[in-house]
Amino acid sequence: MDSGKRIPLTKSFHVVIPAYNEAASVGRVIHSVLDRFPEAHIIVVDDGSTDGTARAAQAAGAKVVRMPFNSGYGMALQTGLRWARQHGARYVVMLDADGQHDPKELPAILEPVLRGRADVAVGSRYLSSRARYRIPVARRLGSWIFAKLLSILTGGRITDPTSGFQCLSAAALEMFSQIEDFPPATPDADMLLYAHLEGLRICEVPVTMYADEGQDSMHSFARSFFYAPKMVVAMAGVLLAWHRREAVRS
Amino acid sequence: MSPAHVGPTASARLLVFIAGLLVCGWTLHKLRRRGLLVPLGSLFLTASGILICFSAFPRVFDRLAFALGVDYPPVLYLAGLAVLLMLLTIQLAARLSVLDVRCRRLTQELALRDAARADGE
Repeated sequence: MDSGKRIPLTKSFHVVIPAYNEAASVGRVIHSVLDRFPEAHIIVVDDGSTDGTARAAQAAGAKVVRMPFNSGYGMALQTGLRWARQHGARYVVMLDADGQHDPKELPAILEPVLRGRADVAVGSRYLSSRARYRIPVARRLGSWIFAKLLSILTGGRITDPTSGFQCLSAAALEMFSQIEDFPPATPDADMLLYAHLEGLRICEVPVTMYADEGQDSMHSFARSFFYAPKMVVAMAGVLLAWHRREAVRS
Repeated sequence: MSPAHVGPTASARLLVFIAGLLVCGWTLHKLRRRGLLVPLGSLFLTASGILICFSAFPRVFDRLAFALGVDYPPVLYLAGLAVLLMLLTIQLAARLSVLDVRCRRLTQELALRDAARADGE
């Protein structure tokens, strides 16, 4: 689907791409976005790369924000969100720099937010089986468990809570960029739960995803091993902190 | 009389005394050079004081153990040390978490300011 022309995109459309050692793919991702949406503001947050990612991104036409050292995907992402917010963004799409997310899907993921139907649109590879690669069983299982858990907690249907391909409304951008203890590594199900508790509307959009082309996937085996317990604790932490805040408010 | 009631040997007491002195000396040295936070310094000075007192008056600690219903006093010492270490670890982890959040926030500010300066804002 390429319905970019049908959607009234404005200057406030920003794309945030956190990148760590993605010099080989980041340029192609940026060109791919700009070919379809020349008006898009692209922010690449270079998370302390050592392979010339910042140069490649700048050469491709993106604004580069450089972290002084490697701080984690989540920190880089929030830095990009804060930059977008400071520069008047009303809609933000989060993309991975490794080529896993297809910029062709931007209109689809933007649509529910632009139409005011959702504050957070999550691109799901599990809706309509549109993953263009073999997802490891452990990953699929972990994702399924957290999807079920999140669906129960939010009362909606979430199938891909680990997807980094998301679109945020101004309200969601405001909220995400102000969280003091934003997860430094992997903001996934915990942040979706946070968004739901704060009253933001979440929806999912079927998207195509490809195997990442980077050297080190965010969910490599070692990280996957610790991902599940860490995410359970993170979600429990979000719930506890929210209840505490509500108690203070009331 | 069971071996527990004999109390620590002279060499064990000397060893504990030296350990207490070393901890005390290291803490004072660090405090003098502003290399240790005062609350942590106080904690280590207290610990070294307890070690020195233990080496000087081991019977007092034995009696304390018996009064608490512990038949074998070293168990109380070990348990006490384990609790102390755990509390210290929790306190340090909590402090580290706060500092980590602040450090990351600072990193973000730095990155955003550098980017804004590069844009001539």
